[in-house]
Amino acid sequence: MSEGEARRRPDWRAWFAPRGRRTGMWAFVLNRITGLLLLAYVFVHLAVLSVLFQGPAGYDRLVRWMSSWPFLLFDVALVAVLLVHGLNGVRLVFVGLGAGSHRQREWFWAAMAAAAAVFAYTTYLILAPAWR
Amino acid sequence: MIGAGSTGAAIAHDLASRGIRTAVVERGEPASGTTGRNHALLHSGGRYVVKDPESAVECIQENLLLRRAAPGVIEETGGLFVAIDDEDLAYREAFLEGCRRAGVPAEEIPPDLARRLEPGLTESVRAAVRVPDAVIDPYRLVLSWLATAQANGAEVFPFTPVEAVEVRAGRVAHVVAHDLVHRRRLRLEAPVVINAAGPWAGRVAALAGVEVPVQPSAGVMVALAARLNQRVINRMRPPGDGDIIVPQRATSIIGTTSWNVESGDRIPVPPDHVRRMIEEGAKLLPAVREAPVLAAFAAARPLVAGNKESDGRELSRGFQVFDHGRDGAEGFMSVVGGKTTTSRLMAEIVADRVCEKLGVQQECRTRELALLPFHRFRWREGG
Amino acid sequence: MAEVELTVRVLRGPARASAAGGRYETYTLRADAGWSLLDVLEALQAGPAPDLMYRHSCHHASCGTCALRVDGRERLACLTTVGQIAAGRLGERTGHGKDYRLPRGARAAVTLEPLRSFPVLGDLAADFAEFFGKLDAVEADLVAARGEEATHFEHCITCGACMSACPIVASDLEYLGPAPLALALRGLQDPTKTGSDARRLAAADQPHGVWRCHHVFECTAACPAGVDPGQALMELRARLVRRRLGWREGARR
Repeated sequence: MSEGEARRRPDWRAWFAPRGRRTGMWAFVLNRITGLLLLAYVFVHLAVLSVLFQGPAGYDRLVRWMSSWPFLLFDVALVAVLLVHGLNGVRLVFVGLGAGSHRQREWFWAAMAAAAAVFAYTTYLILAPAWR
Repeated sequence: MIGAGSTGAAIAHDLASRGIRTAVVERGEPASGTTGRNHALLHSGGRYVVKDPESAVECIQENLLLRRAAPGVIEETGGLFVAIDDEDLAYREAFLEGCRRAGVPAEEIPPDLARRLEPGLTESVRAAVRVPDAVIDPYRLVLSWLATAQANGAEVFPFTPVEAVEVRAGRVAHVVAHDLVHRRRLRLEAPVVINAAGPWAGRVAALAGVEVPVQPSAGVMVALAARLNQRVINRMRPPGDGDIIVPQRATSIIGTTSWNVESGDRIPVPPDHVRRMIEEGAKLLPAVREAPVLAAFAAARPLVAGNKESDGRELSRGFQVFDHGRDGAEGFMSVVGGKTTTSRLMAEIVADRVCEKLGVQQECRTRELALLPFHRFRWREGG
Repeated sequence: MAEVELTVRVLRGPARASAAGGRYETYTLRADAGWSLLDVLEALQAGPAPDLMYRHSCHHASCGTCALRVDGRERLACLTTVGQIAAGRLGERTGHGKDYRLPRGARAAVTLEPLRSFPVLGDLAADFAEFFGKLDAVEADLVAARGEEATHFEHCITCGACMSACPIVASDLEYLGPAPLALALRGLQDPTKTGSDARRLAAADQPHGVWRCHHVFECTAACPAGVDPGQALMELRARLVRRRLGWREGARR
């Protein structure tokens, strides 16, 4: 007899399975991914700061790194991740209290539009000095 | 029990509540045949008062019992019978007299009051009568019956088509069924086997080598993507095509047509039937014409065949119990026909017969018993 | 009506703990554009797949048995038509009563899978036992009100589409999920309700109740009955917060 198991098991793959899904799911997936990236960044950040233990020489090295092109591009990416996660987070605070939850899709696109605008401006702020 | 439509489920509930060990095998989901696709009308009896007063009496009595037993699956909408032309008006006298005789509470109201109650009604309402029709959720009623039967010890096997009904020395011996859930063959030994397969009763009976005169009669129904009425609206005339609009949840369901089919499987939905439903429905509620269609569907009623010439509407809507003892299969019975509204009564009569055969003395308790909610039903043991 | 050459990929397999683990079988058949997926499945049953298991009952979106995943989206099989699939219009609630103006000799392909996050009885048939247990926990009552006025069945048809669409239902086995929580709120709002409000509130106000929701709102997007369980969940949260803070319910009481 091949009686099937009736108890199901937790399926975490569903958190990253946007097939057939709509805006709300993409927002959710984006928030998980940016959240994990920010968590990873905290450790990178601490590792980079630890250079300061080497005294003034370390400080000079840090400033050199920080003004290098790869690091500036990394900063630009970081800003993008922060904006997406942060502004979507603000949306979730309101939606989660029941404010405008039936407009959650529109709020998501509004948050993303705001993120894009702020992103464009900060990218200019970060990269413009490097050009000169 | 073979079959878990309203007939099979109601009988299983009755038998289990009398303490009789019962098993139900059903080839698919419970109520996946005629019952699930019925019109969702809990009859007041109004539709039968003129032509079939006996059915009307049964309907109103069972209507009241079912409201008490399973309030969670009944929408207490009430119903209206409306006359919209001279022909309908000519039927009014006979209709009211029929209601009086059958004990169907009927209150005639002025046409303008009817239109205040149901603003969607046509302006040409000439007469209107209120009756205690209601709306039923047939699927969940069947689950409630089965859940209650399960609580009383009955075993229910959905997705378990019957493959053989073994008859030995003039007696039914056992049933072999293919349990698709557990991928096994079930061999159920029972002194009494009841065939409640509805339009498929002929096919099941053939497995036992006996015949059942069942004539599947198909009907098309059209569900609209809008609820245009709050009460059941019937045309005040002898039953015909498209003469009733039942509101259920967010839909209004127009029914029905009637034509004979070979089997209950793969019934087509002829587009001209859908059009006719909409035309006839629009005579009662003009908004029917503009409302988008949600679904058009068809089901086969299992009518007891008497006169093969007719289109089905003349066949008996009552039910018949065939005791196949005289055909050489003692203990094998077929229950054919009937209505969801009167299933409890039908079950009581059949269960009395079963008790007689088994020599069990147990009174029927289903008049008083409340049913468990539908969500207590389980598809398999330990589920 | 136009005929369509339809290729159907069905995730089949015996009873199991979840939809995963079955195998895909492919069938090709000629189908009328007006057929619903239930007609397609019945045709497969009558032909190449006699033991095919799927659930159905009312064929008009009231019983809530026939929900499955059509190309990854939760749909009621009874409302999804062959024409709608061929026209690529699965976003529309129903394919009935529409003429999609398909070209002669149209072809289409579709993948059918059982609901996610449900144990499977076999093939496309989901086992609703666990789901029904959750409805029981909130004393779900599908009749909204009784009395003099005409009453309604609750619009929720307990089809499980929202449960399948929700990623949290998938990862937290105890999470009550959208439909049960929406029905808990319905129970609280109903002036003629049966059942216990205290039990409904207790069920909602626990770690696996409303607080588990992560605002994905796929429940609302997937609902074939327009119930908006996502909104109901947020309202239930607001109610619980007000209660915790000791605020009175609105002046309506």
